[in-house]
Amino acid sequence: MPESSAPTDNELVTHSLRDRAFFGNLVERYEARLERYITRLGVRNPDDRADVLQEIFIKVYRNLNSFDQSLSFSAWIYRIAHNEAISWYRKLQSRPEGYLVSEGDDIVKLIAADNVDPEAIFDQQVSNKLLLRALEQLDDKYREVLILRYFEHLEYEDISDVLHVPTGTVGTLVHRAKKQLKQKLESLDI
Amino acid sequence: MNNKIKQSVLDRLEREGITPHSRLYWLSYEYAFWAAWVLSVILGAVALAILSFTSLYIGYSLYEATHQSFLTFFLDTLPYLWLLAFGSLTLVAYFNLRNTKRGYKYPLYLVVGSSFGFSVVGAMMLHSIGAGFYLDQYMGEQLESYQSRAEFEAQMWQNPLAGRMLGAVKRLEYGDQEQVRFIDVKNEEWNITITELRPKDSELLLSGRKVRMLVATTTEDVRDGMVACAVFPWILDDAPGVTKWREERNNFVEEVEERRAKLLDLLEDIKEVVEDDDVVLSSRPNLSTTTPETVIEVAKKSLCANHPIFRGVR
Repeated sequence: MPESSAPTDNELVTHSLRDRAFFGNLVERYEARLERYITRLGVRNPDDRADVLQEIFIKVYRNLNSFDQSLSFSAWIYRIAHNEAISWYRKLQSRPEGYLVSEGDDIVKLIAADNVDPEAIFDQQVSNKLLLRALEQLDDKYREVLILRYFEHLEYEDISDVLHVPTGTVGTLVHRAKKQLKQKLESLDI
Repeated sequence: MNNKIKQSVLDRLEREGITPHSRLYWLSYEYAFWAAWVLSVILGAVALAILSFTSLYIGYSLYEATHQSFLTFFLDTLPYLWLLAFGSLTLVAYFNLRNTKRGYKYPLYLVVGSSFGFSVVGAMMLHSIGAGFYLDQYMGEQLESYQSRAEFEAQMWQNPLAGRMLGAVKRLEYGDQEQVRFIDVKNEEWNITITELRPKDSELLLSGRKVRMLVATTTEDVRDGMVACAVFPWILDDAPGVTKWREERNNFVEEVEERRAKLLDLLEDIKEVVEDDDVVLSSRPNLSTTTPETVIEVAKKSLCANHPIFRGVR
């Protein structure tokens, strides 16, 4: 069967509302992405991750009727994942710690490619370890927007739907996040 | 983890009988936020209508009669409660609109601007039918802790020792219309001399209408020694229009100017008398006082000359 004939997210949502079994397809489609996402947000323990992930999908199912089909399902499900991860931190009463910068997540190149800040800081070789340290020091709102933009590769419009901010604000947040990241990297003497 | 998660989710859905919340459930949320937004915009309009009434009609026309300067008058009479109410309701409207399904997508200026803008339009409509006055009046009557603008004005004007009174003439005390019996809003009676009033003001006072009056007094005999200096109609028994206020302001300015001019003339005369005991210049303008003695006598008797409003003369 050609790939183009695979049901769209919206079709799967409609089917899931009629028959619960179809919801399994949505889980399959998004579990890997969401698992990576919540890991990047700081849910590092595998058992915790499994719990959080399960809660996300349960909530997605409960809220299926609130999904506005004119918007992106992907952004909608990321929004729920984002909120669940934050709730999880709150329950633990802790700040997220540590972000996995997996191979292929060439954030440095991606950030530099946007060329918002022409200075050459990103042209330098920045190790994942240092980048991780710099990211850890960013304000939450900046860290979140960088993860969505450069790790999850979401468009501004989708990030706006995940973070519930106007699209214009996403651009501003990304710009400021990069500026702050640059300052953190500089302070780490890179 | 793949199949484990999928299976565990489906098992849990089955086991706990979890079903999606109905569409109506989510719509009710959405409608609740929109309804709350509409309500806060309407209440904002009401607050703004009262705010506009209470800040537009706070007796600017006679502010010199009650306060030392425009700044003290302005700070004293600013309707803080309604400013706060309008500001809070705009914030509530902002919050509600932001929480609608697509509220986060609208730019800040649109969210704040629409909430503010609709309230302003609503307030203008309410204001045009005088709703601000009636709502303010109604709240003043119903709520003990709320002071309506009319009550506030009355409080400012009912202060005999500061030279301000509010009330109406009960009856003429003497046949020659030199004194009247005046009942103030606290139901106290005063004998007021009206010889210093302009004919226009006397007419207004003697009509028996509720009036505001600037008075001067001798320190010895407050109760019976009051002299009326100027009379203004009480206009807060119904919603006053801008024309009424403008008319009142013009009347007040005219009154003050006329009295000041008269006092200036008197002072000029006194100076001339001091300079030359025997000669009074024939060019003296429009004064009934033709001899130095009379000039000095009139100046001494003019208690109104010491009223703060008319005292600016050098």
